[in-house]
Amino acid sequence: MRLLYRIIPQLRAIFRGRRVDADVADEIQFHIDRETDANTSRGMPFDEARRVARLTVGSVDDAMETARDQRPAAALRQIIRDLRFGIRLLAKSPAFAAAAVTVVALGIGAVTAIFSAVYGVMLQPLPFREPERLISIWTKAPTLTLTRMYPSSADVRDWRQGSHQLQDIALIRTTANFNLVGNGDAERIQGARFSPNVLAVLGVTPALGRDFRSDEDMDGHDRVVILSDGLWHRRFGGDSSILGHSIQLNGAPYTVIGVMPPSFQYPTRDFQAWVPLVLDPRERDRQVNQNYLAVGRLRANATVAQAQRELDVIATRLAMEHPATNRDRGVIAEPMLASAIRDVQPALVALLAASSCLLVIACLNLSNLLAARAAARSGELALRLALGASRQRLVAQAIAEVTPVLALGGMIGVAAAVFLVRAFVAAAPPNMPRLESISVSTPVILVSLAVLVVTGLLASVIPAMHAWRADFTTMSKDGGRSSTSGRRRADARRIGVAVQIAFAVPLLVGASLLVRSAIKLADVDLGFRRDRVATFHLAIPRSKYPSDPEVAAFYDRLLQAIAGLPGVEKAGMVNRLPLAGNQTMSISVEKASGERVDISSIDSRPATPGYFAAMGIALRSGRSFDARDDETGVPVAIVDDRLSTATWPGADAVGKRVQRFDGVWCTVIGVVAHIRANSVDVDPRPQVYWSHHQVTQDRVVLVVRTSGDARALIDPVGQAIKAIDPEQPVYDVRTMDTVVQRSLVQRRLTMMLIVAFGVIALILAAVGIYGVVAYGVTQRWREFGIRVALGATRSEVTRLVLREGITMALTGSVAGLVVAAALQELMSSLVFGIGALDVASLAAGPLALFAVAALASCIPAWRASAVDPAVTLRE
Amino acid sequence: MTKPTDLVQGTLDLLIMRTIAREPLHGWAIAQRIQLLSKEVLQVNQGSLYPALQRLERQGWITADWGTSENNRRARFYRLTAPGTQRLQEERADWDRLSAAISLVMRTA
Repeated sequence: MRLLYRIIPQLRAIFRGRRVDADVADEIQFHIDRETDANTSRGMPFDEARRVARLTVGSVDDAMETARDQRPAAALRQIIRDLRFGIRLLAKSPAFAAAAVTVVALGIGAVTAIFSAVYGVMLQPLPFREPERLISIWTKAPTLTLTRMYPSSADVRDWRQGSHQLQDIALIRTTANFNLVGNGDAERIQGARFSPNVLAVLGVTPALGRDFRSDEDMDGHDRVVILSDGLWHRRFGGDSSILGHSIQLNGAPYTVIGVMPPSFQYPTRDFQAWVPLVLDPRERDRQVNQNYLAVGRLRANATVAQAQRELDVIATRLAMEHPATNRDRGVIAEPMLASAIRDVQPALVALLAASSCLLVIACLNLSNLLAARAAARSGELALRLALGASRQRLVAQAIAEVTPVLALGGMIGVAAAVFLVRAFVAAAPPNMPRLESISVSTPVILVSLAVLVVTGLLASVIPAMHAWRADFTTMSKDGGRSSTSGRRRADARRIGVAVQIAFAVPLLVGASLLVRSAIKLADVDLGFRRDRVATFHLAIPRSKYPSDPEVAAFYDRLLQAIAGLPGVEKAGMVNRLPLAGNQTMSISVEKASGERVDISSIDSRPATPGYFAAMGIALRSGRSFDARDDETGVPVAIVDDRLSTATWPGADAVGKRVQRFDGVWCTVIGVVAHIRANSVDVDPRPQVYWSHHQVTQDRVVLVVRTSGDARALIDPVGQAIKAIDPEQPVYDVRTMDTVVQRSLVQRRLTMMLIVAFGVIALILAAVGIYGVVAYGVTQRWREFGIRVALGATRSEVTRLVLREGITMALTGSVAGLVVAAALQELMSSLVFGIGALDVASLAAGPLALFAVAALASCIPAWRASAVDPAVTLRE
Repeated sequence: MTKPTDLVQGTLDLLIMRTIAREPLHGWAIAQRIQLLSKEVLQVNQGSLYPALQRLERQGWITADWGTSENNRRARFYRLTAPGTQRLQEERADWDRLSAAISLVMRTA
């Protein structure tokens, strides 16, 4: 009740400010008139009566003024007045305004853009029901230094049966290529095979139609498919009557039973169709092993740690029951989100740290800019104080003057971030998880706003202190030139610059680490030649070519046709390109002593005779595959020089024997150069190749080397394939150059961003140093004059000024190196070929800053050296 | 006539509220009424009357409306609000207790 009585007049005052003022004037006028009446009735002449009334009321007017200032409405109007004043001031000094706004925009833009990515990828919950209850489960074999492996279906089945902490575990097989025929060109669709409970475990339902039924994972019932929203719109016009109809996948009819909502992009956004997972009966008793993703849903209130402990117990039991496959195998249970972002997390965290460094630098830079202005205006402040302005008013105004800079800078920063994020998403690495959730979203903008406010408050501390400490006596005497408070202020600014440098050092060190890593990466011997090679992915439908010999014969037909194309030097096939990740098997080798050694994990690839020449992989000894190595020929293998040197040191591997994963012993016929099969930066395993007639896979990459431009081959090769089989889709067509570049996109992007941040930091530091040194020179103008008059040489004066800049760079750099050393953990997983405490990089940061500090101090130093004592001392 | 007594801070608020408890009054009339009732002992400083009125209004004890004065002029009339009436009773009880206590001390000490 009372609150209402209190609020109403205030609201009225806010919204009807002018009216209230008019009311007050009316009320006072009435008072004067009434007083005049009373005075005349006491016998005073009218003029005298009026004068006396006015005199008493004069004090009323003053009092009303004070009363009005205490009202909140008045405070609001005051703020608006201050803001207007601030904007006018800015308009009067456009150079300062532009500098301050740019600094704010840079800081806020960088943080907003990077935080958008961090929020979208790392913080935003996964788009599933109660995503915090979802876990990913992996196996590991620490004794074989395999820290993370895809689990087998038998293991998942046993975990599922034995676990009480987990409500359910779903199995996903991510390798399912479909040739979609009909309704346009033949197209290869990336699909996944789901155990029937996947959608239930994730907690999502189809937008249209139904989920898989529990019996649809049985052979014969599995010809059903759920489509992605994208595929449904693109190929079937978004027509819901597609439900219940069949479509041709790999030459077999599949009934469409459902369509997922657009938000469902699992396992990644590349997946467009999902079919039931039918397990090979041999998997049940661990005879064969396939790679699966396992996703579990915790029971309500169960924790990941509890699930981990329970799975550990089960793993120990399985190791005893199935020593052949499960000995020394461990389990990893971790939140699904953590699994999803594992590869990009270090880069994102490093980028967030880098953008935060930049923000700190921008904040300090802004603070110094404002402080310099406040110092320049100290005379004005002192005068206003002397004329009766309160210190609170001056401080309030100092803050209000910063606000337009923040508002404008913040807006430009966020707008730039929107632009940057779009560019980032477009340039993001192909394996970047959750790319679709990266945007400048509301939570991101709220965080940016908070950051902006904090930045503004921190940056206004010094000017506000100036306003508070403004002192008429000292200011009016000497303009603060030689007072102690002036020196203290200059010290504060020097410290500000030193701290900026301290935060710029880790940025520059980080940038230098990444640039040096990139140089090292460019020097890596890939083992193959990336130039003049075009690659084409093919997935062969088994419905058309059911047996391995038919598939291999199809490959031979394709190769024959392509070899005849003009410009083709060499053509070959392999089932997985270099740098395309692992496809490992375990084999055994027979040493010279006859001893058998198991090699638990080796890159294993079927290849055609022409592959090595086409990819430019050097043949070290022996021969490549040829027509002899067909289904009926002697089982053969080609090993890389790494395996050869490790197993048969000093001897030729040709003629030695290796046992294939299926138990067949093969004769080594050749040794080739080791290649980077996994990625440019990680190279864990040796390699072995099989003849494509003896080990046939229905997924293959055609590799064509040309004498000219690889891109010119793409169309003719595509047509040649179409001429042989018009229903055979070709996908992921890239030159080998592009393949190498794509594998390095994440590193390149991280490097470019951190280098950009480093350069900006360097420029800001330079501006900061220049500002402080130049200001110092104007302050000490007279002192320099005296020095020169007393016999100091020009170079001594120059040195004096240079020393100031260098001192700031030195103290800042020392502190910065400490920060850089503390942050090196962040960089350790991002560097390549050098340690995270790389001396050259640690030196590069401070050196760059020294150079910049010297440069930035040069101009003021030169000006100082030109001091003319005759002129200065007379001033 | 003795020198008019300065009003103790806070007493003015009480006096204003008491004065307008019976009927709504405008500022000038409030000052006149206080002077009259105190037999010219209490002289309301014009410079503190209006701020006091503003303060009371802001606190929600009193409210004001435009009306017509005794000489047919537009004037701002102040009156007590419901919480103001209650507040006046409390303040009045406080004042009675305080003044009784003071006079007790003055008489007996």
